[in-house]
Amino acid sequence: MAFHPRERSPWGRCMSRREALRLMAGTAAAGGLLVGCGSGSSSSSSASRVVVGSREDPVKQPLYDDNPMIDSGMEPEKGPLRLYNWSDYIYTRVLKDFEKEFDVEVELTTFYNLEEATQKLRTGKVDFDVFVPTAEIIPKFVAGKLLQPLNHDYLPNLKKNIWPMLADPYYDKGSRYTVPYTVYLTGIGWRTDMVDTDVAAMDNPWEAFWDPEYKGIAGLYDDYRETIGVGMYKDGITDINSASPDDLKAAQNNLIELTDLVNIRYTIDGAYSKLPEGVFGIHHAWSGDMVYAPYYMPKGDDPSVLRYVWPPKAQGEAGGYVSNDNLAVLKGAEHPVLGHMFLNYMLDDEVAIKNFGWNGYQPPINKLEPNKLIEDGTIVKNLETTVIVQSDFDMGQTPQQLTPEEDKQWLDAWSRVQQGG
Amino acid sequence: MSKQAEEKGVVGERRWLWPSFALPGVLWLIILFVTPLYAILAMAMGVSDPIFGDSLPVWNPLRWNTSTFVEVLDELLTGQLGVVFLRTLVYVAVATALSLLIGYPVAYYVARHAGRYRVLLLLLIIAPFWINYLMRMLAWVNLLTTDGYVNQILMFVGVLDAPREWLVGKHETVILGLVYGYVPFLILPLFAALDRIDQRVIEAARDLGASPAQAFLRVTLPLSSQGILAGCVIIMLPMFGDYYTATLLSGSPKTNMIAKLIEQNINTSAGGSTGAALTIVLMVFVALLMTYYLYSVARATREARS
Repeated sequence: MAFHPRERSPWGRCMSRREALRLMAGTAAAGGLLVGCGSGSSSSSSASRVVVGSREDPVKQPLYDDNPMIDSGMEPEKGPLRLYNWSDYIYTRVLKDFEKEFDVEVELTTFYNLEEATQKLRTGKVDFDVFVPTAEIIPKFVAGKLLQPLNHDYLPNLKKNIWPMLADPYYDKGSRYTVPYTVYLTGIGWRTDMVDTDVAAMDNPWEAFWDPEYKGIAGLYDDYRETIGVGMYKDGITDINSASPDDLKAAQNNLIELTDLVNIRYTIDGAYSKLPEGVFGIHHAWSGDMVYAPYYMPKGDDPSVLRYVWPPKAQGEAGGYVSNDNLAVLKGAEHPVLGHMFLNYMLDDEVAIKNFGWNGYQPPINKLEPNKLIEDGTIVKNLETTVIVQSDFDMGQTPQQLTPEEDKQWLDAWSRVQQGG
Repeated sequence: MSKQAEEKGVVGERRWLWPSFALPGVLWLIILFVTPLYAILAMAMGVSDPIFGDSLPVWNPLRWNTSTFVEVLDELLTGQLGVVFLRTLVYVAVATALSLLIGYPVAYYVARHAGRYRVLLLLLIIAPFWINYLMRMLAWVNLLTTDGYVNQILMFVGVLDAPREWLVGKHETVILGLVYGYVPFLILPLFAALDRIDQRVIEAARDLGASPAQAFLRVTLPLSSQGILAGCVIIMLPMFGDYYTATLLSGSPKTNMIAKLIEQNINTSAGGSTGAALTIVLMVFVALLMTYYLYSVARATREARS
C-alpha cells in the first residue's frame, strides 16, 4: 500500500474498516472496498496528459484554458480557509497564528491515506482550498485538473526563502502548480545496543537487513513503493522509476529471502515507535520518523543508542529515496486568494521553522542551518544524519509517477513478497 | 387475484400481508448486500483510469474486463496465492476448533450449572467487548513481548527455559489472537442452544441407563449441534476477513492472511481491481462453506419435523 511518511497512525483509519468487516461478516473483506467504489465518475479528460519530469529531463506542467490562475492584487476572501492535510502534519499553533494575522478561520480536515484523499478530491464534491500533494502525484493531479495554477505575485517567499532547486523543481518547472512544504529521506535506523555493526560504515548499508545476525529484530516499511526499492538497492540497482522485469524480479526475490532469513516484519510504526521501544533493532526509516524516535524512548532508556544512515551518504554507491511534499491550491477552491496567502505564509522562514519544531519533517528553507538544529536540540546529536541538505537530492533517487502498467507490476511483485510462501 | 382467493377474502388479504413483512429485510439486502456486491464485481472487472491509473468500476456487464480476474485465478492455481488461501483456511479451522474446545465447556457450565450467576457470567463473557478489538490486541502485543508477562509466567512455572519470541511471525500467536478475539461470539449461540435443551430429555436418558458421559454424547451433544454450527459460522466468517490480528501480532509475510493481501491491494491506486477480484474469490469460497451450513440446517429442520 502506498503509505506515506505521515501515515503514522494507520490504526485510526483501519478501525472503522475493521468495524465494517465485523458488521458485514460474510462479505467482510469487501467492506473497505465500498469506499473505493464511490468514485465512479472519472474526472479525467482525454485532452490532458500526465507529464512526468525527472532530474535529467525537467518538465513544465501544462496549463489549460479552462483552468486559469487568479488575478493579481485581489483582497483575500473572508474565509474560512479549508486545509486538507495528512494527519498530524502541521503545527496547530501555526494555524492559530495564521488565523490571527489574516483574521480568518482555518478548518483543518485530515486524511491518512493518499489514495483515499485523491478519490475524495476527484468526486469534485469537496470544497477544500489547500492540499498537500507528494511530488510523485503532482503530474496526475495537474492532468486531472485538480489543482489551479499559482499566481506568483502572491508568493514572494518562494524565491526568497526556499532552496533554489525546489523553488523551481524539475517535476514542476516554474512552480506552476505547487510550492514545496517538507523534504524527507528514506534510510535505515538502528540501535547500537542491539546491532553490533556500524551500518553507516558498510559499503551498502541496505545489506544489513540480510544479516542473519539480526533475525527477529529487523523491520521494513509496509509500503510497496518504498520497500521494493530496498530490494533493488540491495543489488545495487538504483533505477527505481522503471519496471524492468529483471530488476523487479531481483527485488522480489531479495525480499522473499528476508522472510525466513531474518524473520522480517513489515510495519508502518516500526521506525518512530517500535525501534525506540526495542522491539526492533534495525528498521527502514524516514528521516522525519527518526527525528521523532527519541520522544518514543521509554523512560529511563538512553536515546543516544539510536543511529540513522541514509545509504547514499555511506562510502559505497548505495541508493536511497529522497523526496518532498508540497502545498497547492485546489482548482475548486472557494477561497483561492486566501489559499495563496496561506502558501506564502508557510514559506516564511520563521513560520516554517516553528512548524518544523513540532512536525519533525524539515522544510527546505535556506535559513535553516543544520548545525543550529543540533545545537538547539531540535535534533539529537547522534541523529544528525537525519538532517537534509539540498545536495542530497543529487545523491539519491526521487520516486516518480510510474505508469499504470508499471505500477501494477510493482504491486504484483509486492503481493508475491507478501504471500510468504 | 385467483378465484379461490376472491372467495375467501380474508385469506386473500393475508396472502399479501405476511410476505410484506419481508419487505424491510429484502430492501436491506438489496441496499446493503446486493449493491455493494455488484460494486465489487464491477471493480474486479474494471479498467484503469488513463490519468490517475487507479481502478475504475465498469458497471455494464457487457463491457467487463476479465483480465485482472484471470490473473488472480492464474496466480491462485499456479502461483503462491493458493498458499495464502490454505494458510488462512488452516488458521481459521484451528482457531475455530480451539474456540469450540474452550467455548463449549463454558457455555455448558453457564447454561446448565451456573444457577443464579448465569446472567452475571454472561455479562462477564461479553465484558471484553466493551473494549475495542484493537485495544485488546495491542494489549496482547504488550503481554507477549520478550520480557512481557506471558514469558515471565511461563518461565516461572517452568514451561519455558528462555523467553520465547512470540511476535516474530509465529503461526500460534496469530491463532491465539484469533481465538481470543472471537471466542465469545461462539459462546453466546452455544449457550442459547444448550439452554434450550429440555432437562427432562437428559433425565430420561439417565433413567434409561445412560451414564453421564453417554447422556452427554448421545443426547446433549447432538441436540446442541445446531448451536455449534451456528457459533462456528458466526466466528469463521469474520475470521476469514480478518487482517488485523496477523498485522498486529506478527507482521511477517509468513502469517499473512488473505484479507491482508486484499487490504494491501485496495490501499493502492493500481491494485483496486486485484483487491476486488481477490474479494470475490474469497467470497465464493466462504459461500461454499455457508451453503454447507444452510444445507445441514435445512436437513436438521426436516429431521426434526418428521
